[in-house]
Amino acid sequence: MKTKHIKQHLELYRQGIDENEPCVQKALGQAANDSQLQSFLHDEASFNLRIQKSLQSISIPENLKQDILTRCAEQPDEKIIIFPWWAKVAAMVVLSGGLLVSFFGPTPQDSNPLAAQVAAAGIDSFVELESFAKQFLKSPSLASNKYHHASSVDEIRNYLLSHNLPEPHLLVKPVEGAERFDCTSLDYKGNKVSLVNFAEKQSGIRCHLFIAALKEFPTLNQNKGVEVREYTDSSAALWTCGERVYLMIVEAPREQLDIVMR
Amino acid sequence: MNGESLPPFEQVVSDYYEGLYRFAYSLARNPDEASDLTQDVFVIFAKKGSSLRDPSKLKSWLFTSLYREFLRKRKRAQKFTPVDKEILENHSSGNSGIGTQTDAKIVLDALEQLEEIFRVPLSLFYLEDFSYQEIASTLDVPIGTVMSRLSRGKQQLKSILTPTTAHTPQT
Repeated sequence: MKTKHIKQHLELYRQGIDENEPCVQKALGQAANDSQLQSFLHDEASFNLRIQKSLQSISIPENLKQDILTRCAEQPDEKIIIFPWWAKVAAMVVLSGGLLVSFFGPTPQDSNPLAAQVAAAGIDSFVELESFAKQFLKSPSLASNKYHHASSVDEIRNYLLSHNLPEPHLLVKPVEGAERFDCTSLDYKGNKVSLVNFAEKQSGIRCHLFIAALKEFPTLNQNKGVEVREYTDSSAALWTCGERVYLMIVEAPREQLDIVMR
Repeated sequence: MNGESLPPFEQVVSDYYEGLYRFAYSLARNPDEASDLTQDVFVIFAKKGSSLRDPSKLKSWLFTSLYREFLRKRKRAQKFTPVDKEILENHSSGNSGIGTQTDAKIVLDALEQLEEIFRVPLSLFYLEDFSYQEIASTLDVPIGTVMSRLSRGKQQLKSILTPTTAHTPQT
């Protein structure tokens, strides 16, 4: 192999990816006994690493994944099912018996297995509620009531109860040790969701606890364990307890959420 | 068909949306357009992905779809919208970029200066650790062409990024 070709393979060599390419293997073999080629390889690898790191640092919009799932779930399934002529005739016959739907009416999910998954992902209550909650946190003026300030969890509970709003049945542990409370309510698909804002006692991290009635989320089971999602500068946990759904959003990375939820 | 099945939809989104977004950003140089392209790809996947028989081709399929969608949108934009040169210049200078790190911006600006036949394979090469074969099938060109474009593209990228030796006036 000519030096020119060896260099061409070495300059495109990425450790851990290209070892299986026969021409790269040959070039690496040649470089092993040649200090000039080794130096060339080293320089090229450094350059590759710099470019790779630079491009990997392009940051991802925080809600992109949720936006994707929401948008995919909103898409109507446009798959067109074309029946042969005999099927149309058969359909006419069956139609008179009122059985068309059961025979020839595949749902989008039947015709496209991914559609069922998309729908399932789209109605993922976590994604749905979290997306709503984050939108609200960006525009707090959407609150249906004024913010009520309180100095204890009991005061918060009493306020929510007196306003017929979802309240934490039990004292939710993360809120127990907190300070600087306020709460309000939001309209979510015609139902009320309570929001309790507080600062974690030790770290002062801002936390937002959304409380909703479980019956509004048919895909969630009672006593669902804590499910956590993390983002660049926030993290969220969703769980259910009794007849309530809880969503905690913390303006801090996952580690801080773990401290709050401990 | 190799007997394996595609991962669940949400898993596919989790595994690939970041890489697809970065690739889209390297093509479009605009965060909104990159987000739209990324979403478009998953919409396409939701509709047509079940026809994909070989799960090992999934990554390549997604990136190919994104690239085609980018070309399709750009073609349409060129057809219907008179492109304002000033807007293009601002666009390519990265003014619209949110969260793009300084070095990434320099590299993206340098990539922008390359011809598309070099820029696209290089983006795949650096961003997603695509093998030469995967780049070839994503761009639908022979592997030899990919190697040659990568090599030439990298040399051009280097010459843009490496400051030329300062010219010292002779006394």
